[in-house]
Amino acid sequence: MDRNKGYIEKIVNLIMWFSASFILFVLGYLVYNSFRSKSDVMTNTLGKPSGLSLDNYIKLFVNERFEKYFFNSLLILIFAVVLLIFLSSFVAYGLGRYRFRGNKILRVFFLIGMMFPIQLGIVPIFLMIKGIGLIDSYASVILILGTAISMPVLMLTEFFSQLPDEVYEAATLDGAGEFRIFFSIMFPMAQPVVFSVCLINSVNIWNQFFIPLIFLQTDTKKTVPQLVVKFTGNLFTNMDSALSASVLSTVPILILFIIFSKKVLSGFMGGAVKG
Amino acid sequence: MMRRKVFIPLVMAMLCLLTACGSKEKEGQDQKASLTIWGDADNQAVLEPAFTKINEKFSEENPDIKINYQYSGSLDSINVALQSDSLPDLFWVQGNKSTKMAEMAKNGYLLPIEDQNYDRFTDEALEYGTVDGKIYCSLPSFISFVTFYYNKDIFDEAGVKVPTTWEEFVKVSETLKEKNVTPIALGGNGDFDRYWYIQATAASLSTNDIESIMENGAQGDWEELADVFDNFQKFSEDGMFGKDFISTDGNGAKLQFTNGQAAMTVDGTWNSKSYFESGMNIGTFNLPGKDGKKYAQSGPNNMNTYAISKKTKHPQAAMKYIEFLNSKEAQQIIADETGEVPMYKDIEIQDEKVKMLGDFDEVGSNIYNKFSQIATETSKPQDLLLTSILPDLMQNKIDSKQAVDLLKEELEK
Amino acid sequence: MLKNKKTYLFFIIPGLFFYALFVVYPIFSAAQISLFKWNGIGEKVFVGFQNYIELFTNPILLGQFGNALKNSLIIFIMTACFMIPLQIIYAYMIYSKTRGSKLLQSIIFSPQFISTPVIVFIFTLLLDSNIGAINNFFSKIGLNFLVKPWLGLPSIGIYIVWLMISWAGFGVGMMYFIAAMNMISTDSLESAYLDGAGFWKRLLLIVVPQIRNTIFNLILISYITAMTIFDYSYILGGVSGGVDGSVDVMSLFFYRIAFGDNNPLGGNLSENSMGMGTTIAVSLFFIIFIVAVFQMILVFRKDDING
Repeated sequence: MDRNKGYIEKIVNLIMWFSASFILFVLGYLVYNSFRSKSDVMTNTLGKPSGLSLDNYIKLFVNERFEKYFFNSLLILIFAVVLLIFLSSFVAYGLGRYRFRGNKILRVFFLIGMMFPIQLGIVPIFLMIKGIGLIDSYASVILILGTAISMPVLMLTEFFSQLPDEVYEAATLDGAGEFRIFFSIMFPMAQPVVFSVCLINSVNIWNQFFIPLIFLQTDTKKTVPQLVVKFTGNLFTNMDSALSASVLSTVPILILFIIFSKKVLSGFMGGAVKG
Repeated sequence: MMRRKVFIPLVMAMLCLLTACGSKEKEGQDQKASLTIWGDADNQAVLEPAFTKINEKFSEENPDIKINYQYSGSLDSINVALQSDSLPDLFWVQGNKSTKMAEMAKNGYLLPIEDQNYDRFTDEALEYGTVDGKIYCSLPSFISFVTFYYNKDIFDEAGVKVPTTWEEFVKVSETLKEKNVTPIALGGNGDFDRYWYIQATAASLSTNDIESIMENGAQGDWEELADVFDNFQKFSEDGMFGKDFISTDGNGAKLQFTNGQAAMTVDGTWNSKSYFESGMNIGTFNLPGKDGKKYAQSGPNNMNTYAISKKTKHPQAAMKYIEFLNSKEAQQIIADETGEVPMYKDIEIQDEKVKMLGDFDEVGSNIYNKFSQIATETSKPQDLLLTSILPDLMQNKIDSKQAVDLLKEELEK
Repeated sequence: MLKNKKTYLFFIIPGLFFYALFVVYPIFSAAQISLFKWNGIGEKVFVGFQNYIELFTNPILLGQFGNALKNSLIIFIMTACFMIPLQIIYAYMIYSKTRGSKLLQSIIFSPQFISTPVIVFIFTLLLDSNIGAINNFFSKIGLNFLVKPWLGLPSIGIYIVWLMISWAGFGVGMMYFIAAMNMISTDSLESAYLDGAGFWKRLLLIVVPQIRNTIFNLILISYITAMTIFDYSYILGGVSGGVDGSVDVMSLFFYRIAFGDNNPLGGNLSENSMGMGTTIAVSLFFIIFIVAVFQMILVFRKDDING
């Protein structure tokens, strides 16, 4: 059955495509300019380009070893997201499924992390990381980014508290332990949300600049945003590299996102609850 | 079930990573003196080629010293390192351009630098590095200042020549305006973008006033400074900076100029490479004052000014690095690689265009730097100028008389 | 919700431990700086609540505080009134698999990945009055009245900031709403279809009530974001927050006082930069905290009624 046949749906669909094409247009303009030479963008911003080339990209790989930064970012991203989801889904399950004294207070407590500028808390964190000898290591950044669980806890708690009790009770009757219930039933059920939380936090971690700036000091350990900032510090002088580095840091993650977005859209719950 | 299978190995791997990195930290102490140096992260793109060469050269001459040069010295990371007692052996500082280095020196974070030969250096350079009679960093050797870039083709077409006096500069701007060319592209929307014009005019027209303010504070009539403000207000009003310049940002203004939509722009020497390499027919001139002399503005830059942390384990090796940065050899490398304008005659300029940038008769006073040197806790004339007086003048909310009064009021605080 | 033994502790403790150690402890450790007079380098002098008194009595500081708070609130209100409803509608369309939903979702989310300075630069290339492609287009088709330096107009500055934040961040809220919709029971929606309920009826009467708590959460998140975001304002208006503070926001105000004089020309280190900066951050914390507590009470009360 076609469920989008109403004229309102058609209009909204049209509006959506319109806004999407505006976004595409802006991104396209970014990509287009990243293929132009710096002097061409500078002196002939609006005119016909004298030629499009991959030079800006080649420069990034040859002079800057972009792949190194990319690999570092990817490594940090993977570990930090796993740690983040692991910690936050546990906490959220504990908060969302169980009723106990202090639950409300804990929920607010877990929000505190979003309310204070990180620049201020950085010195105590630095001293701690220094104490365990992790300065200038990937682990420091992973630990700090992977434990900032305020936002995922807020979102996931909501969803775990909405899961129907019947499923849980049925599993308890089967004699399954608490952790087994969590891993084999509850966690998979929350999958659409977990994927969204995963994606959104992946982007946050991927774009993180300040924490890597403070903790990663060796050039070979730095991340993509640190490279991009090297160019955006004086954008006018480095616009060629800034544009191409932006495109390069976006595209692979975007592809990953498109692959994952199927999962997000899969509408897992409908069947699960009924069955 | 599947989830668990993924989770556990990953968590294990993470623990391994943690412990592996932890143990690595311990080693690395061998006979070689190893120096960790933090370079200026914000200017990495400009400085990288120069410092790669400098470090190579230094390592050649000092095989017993191992250099670990990292572009980690952002203002933030130095702050954090300072407050957590983890400064690297050497790091870049801003000398007397900010009160930071003085604060660090007074609070015992820095090692005073001794036994260096300072014959080559000017008083200004020595002043830059001195706190309470001792020198705390390698000395500056290049100046950054604001200059006028002009489009030669537009100048030719309009039949105007590079101004050699202040009156000519005003005349050239008026002529261009009459011919429907925007005379000067200026980003009125950014604090500093709009300030650059004032830095140039204030040095060329009002160096005497600025110096007298430095000595006598709020006294005097400040006619020269009033002229500077007057000119800025009048030029803003007359559309010398283009019709929408108040809401144009710095990059927009630069692109306006490089696209041939404005005859001149005011910008730092630090951006000269971009203009020269754009393929346009670009010239530069330093703004002449009423006395007909061409002025640059004072402002030693921090390209090669580094300080030593008091906690360093290898003070002698660190001193050697400072000594090398103070040498003509190192400075020549910076000159060749960056195209900065050197402060000393013994450094050779290869590039004709850099020679053009360096074509000035006098170094006038840098109004922002000078004001911040006399600023106190309660009175910050430089901030007032930047964020309040200039935007108000530009929008015609106050006149030059009021601007002068506001500054006086601030100084008397 | 389950009334259960102490099992919940096993779930909460690992997260609580790391979170308390790396997130909460540093915050409280930093917050005490607000009781000192300190420039970040020199000696700390204990002054009690003097910094707070200063912040709320000094007319200049208070004026900046008020202006920044006003602008942050504008961003929040605009987001809550326009962005969130639009995000819900978009999310619902994608959820109900409108034509091209996968592609739409990816495109709308994608600006998230680009760093802020580059976003601002590309908008400069598009909207500058001299070299902007869009303005150029307007003037070519004769709509000269539309040719304006859009990014820099002080009178609408904060709305431009809001638009850019929304342009880049629209997808985040939308993703959460899609996820929330995927969790709701489809039975009621099925029967609504069979009853022939129209688009608005389905959305407002069936979907929205079921994702109510997610909506509350996102309103809270956009409030927190409005109070803590600063890079757009910083890039568009510099550390002073634009001409007459037109794009100043709370976090930029904090940044300006705590680290503001950091610039390529040097400048001055205030005697009390860290002390006053932290005071502002703590005040900002309470401005957010009160709303968060209020929101928790609101959501919980509804939960209790349902439960």
